Amino acid sequence: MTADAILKMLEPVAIRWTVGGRAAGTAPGDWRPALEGVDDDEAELRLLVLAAQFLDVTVRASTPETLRALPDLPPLGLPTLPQRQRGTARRLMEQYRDARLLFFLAARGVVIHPEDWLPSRGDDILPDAYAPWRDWWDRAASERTRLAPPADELSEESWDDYFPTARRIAFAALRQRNPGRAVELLAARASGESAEIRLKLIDLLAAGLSDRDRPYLESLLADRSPRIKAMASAYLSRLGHGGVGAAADITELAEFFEVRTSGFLRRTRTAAARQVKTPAQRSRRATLFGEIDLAAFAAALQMTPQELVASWPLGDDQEADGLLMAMAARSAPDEVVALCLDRLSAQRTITVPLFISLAGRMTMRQKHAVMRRALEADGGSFAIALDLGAGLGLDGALDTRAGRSLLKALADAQSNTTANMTLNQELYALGMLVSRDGARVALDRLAAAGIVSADARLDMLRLNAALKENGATE
Amino acid sequence: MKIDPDAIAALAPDQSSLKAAAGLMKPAKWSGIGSSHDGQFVWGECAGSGANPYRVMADLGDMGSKCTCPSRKFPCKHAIALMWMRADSAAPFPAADIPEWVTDWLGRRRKTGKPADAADGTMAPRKSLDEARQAEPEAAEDPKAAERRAAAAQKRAAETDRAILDALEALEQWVGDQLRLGLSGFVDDAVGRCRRIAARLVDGKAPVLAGRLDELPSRLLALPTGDRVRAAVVELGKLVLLARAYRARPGDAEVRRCIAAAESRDAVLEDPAAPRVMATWEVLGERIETRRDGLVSQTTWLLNLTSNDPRFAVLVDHYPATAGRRLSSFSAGEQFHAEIAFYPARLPMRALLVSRTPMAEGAARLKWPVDESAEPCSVLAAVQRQATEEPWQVETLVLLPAGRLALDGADRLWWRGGDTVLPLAGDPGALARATDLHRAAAIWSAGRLDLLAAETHWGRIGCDG
Repeated sequence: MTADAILKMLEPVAIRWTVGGRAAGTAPGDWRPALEGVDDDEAELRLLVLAAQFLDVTVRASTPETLRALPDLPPLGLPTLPQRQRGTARRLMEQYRDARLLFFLAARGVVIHPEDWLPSRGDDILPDAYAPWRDWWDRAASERTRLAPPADELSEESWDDYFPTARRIAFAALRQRNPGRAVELLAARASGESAEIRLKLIDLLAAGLSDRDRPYLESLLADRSPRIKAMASAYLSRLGHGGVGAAADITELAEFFEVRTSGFLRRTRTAAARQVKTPAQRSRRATLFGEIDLAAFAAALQMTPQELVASWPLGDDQEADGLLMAMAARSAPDEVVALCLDRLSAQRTITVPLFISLAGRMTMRQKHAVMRRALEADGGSFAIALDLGAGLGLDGALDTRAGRSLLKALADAQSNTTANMTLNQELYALGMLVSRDGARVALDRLAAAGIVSADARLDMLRLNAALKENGATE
Repeated sequence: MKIDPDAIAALAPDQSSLKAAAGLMKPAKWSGIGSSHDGQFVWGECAGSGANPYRVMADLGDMGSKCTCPSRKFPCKHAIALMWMRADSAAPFPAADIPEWVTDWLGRRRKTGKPADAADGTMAPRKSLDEARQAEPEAAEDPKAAERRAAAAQKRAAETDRAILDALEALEQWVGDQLRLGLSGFVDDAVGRCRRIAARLVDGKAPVLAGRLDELPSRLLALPTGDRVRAAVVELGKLVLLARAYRARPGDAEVRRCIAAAESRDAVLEDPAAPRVMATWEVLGERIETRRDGLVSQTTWLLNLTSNDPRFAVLVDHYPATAGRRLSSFSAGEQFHAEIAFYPARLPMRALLVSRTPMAEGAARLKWPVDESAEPCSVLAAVQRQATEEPWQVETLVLLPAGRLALDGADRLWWRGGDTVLPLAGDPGALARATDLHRAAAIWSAGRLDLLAAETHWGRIGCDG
């Protein structure tokens, strides 16, 4: 008797047992001799044993008609972190779940092993090196499972050969090489993409923004997506063609402020924030700051953007300060952003979050300078400075005020507990900020201060010290 | 770093701990001893009563220590022995890089400052290393007392056998009841019904079988609804098979192991029938489960990289949940040379680690074996072999040949190798779905594969999701 035949004959047995009842009387014929000559209970148990053995050994789940293998996870353009450092990187990723570690590694020319970390579908803020993995999710979800990246340069013809992240990176490269061609390509092909994808592509026009882009940006002011309209308006504003936007909104924002005059001839005009009375008002003000351009806001106050920034009463309303800086970062021309940085730098106490709002418009040199000041400021810390960017290659970090505070806190913690979250964060941030030489020096200094070299809190510093600038290890 | 022996005596919770530690100060009981380059940290692995050696580490700077043993005493005898051996130079402590498991402990630990004795100011009973070192003279045994003891032990064994047989009879009646009442209702109320018979089995000196009954509902509920009744038939049938096997041969150690208790470590090591295998092994994975009886079960699967006889070993340890979270004795993917003693069985699988030595510094990882017999169809042959030799078992370890995971229309995962397509249990993680699996190790249970690890072009990957 074949297995299929037995299985068929077991159906009535299975039905009896499922609902409850004796089944020996319906057992397959070949099995009946084993069930004879014993009482009913014993026959039932014998049938159960036979059925169990039969089902376990011969019955397999029926194969589905169609099976779909997901595409291969593609290799990345950078080498994978050496085996020796994988454990450290994995621990750090598990502990902090911090994409900045990926940026740090990418800056050192390596990527994390996919067993230790893979992007999720929604992970967008990743180093460019991970684009093929980010796109893998889209490939896995689509019918297109082509493995090789497109051979052709990004063009109108090859546009559809790219998955979104890879296309975005190719577009950024094209924008750097040939800004005019890039904006032409966008004008020709972007309209077919979703608002989310268009927004990310238009965002890349920030690099090398010039009057050449103006016609395209102006065409976007009629886009169906409010976020794209706002971005186009902000970029036009950066080019000095701001002031557009919903007049009612601009007026509403301006009404949150009053213009005061001061000075000998009462010629200095200052936009002073009126007191915000309710959370709803506060929220509305923040929304308007996020949508309106600096030029339009300044014009509504009958000032130029330069006048507005130069006379802004920093410190009077810290929330408004932050909103203004974010507005400037988004929509102000380079010279106005530089004025913002000058004003912030001239303050007696440095307010790092305000600089962080402008970080995207700052040069590496400017970030270094701000970071130095942040580390020397009262209450300054590596964790706060890290928000300006990882992998900046700082040297002499422990000689700063933040460094001395860290060493003192570590010394104080020796007799207490070593599991101090703040110290953990500081050591982690320190490891992210310093150069490789700086990491080695810091490890020596910390060892001299009594921190054992095997202390897991030094993982980030050790990882930094082990990675050469090109990603190789010693 | 110099250690004051008196500090060790002060650290010990009591004189009996010192005495026990003295008994462990034999280099033969230890492996992998080492010290950090600055001498502040020492570590080693000490053979205990479990399947895995205990990993012991100490910070000589403040005499802090950690051990993977389940002892509630702190420090335990293993940690005291390690520090004592260092103080007495009773074993070489070669300087080496601090292993990751020690680093891991250092990252978690809270420094205690001073030893407890000094901190609380109370007068602790005096403890002496010298006293602990002295071997107690063995008392001459009274032959009549020995006879009485042997007779009592025999009586106890007979009572235990009787209790087990009674419990197995109750189990069979219970199985019959489930068939009569209907397996549909059994699946719906599996937790409650299994708990009741498990409690009866515990009373009947069958705690291992009771544990299996307690785990049965979770195995059923992990399956798609449509497969549960069929799986219940298989599970219940295997229970009856096991009960019959015990009744047929009550002295069969392998069957008894599945019902009452496994042999002690010493009994296995002294048993000439227990196969010993010296090989290079790789840790495939680990499963730690807290059981209903309050014990934590720690299972470690090893792959023999040197030969296929046997291909796998399974180390099983139990310790009370009240002992707290325990550091693993291994890390997934770790390779090492080791002698392993298998519990005697028709298909040896459960084992004890006798000794191990780490791979040489900088040595290349060994590739997984290319098993000529590991054709897709022979995966099922391995399952059939176990079903023939040990039909009461519910899990079979298999080494899968080259294959690939694929999704069906309902996004369920399948392993496909050649013409063989087998369903998967659990989620092996995104990477396992997105690459060819050159080889994969898996547990076959309830007609499904649960992947443990695989070799891929990304290297060895764990498949625990």
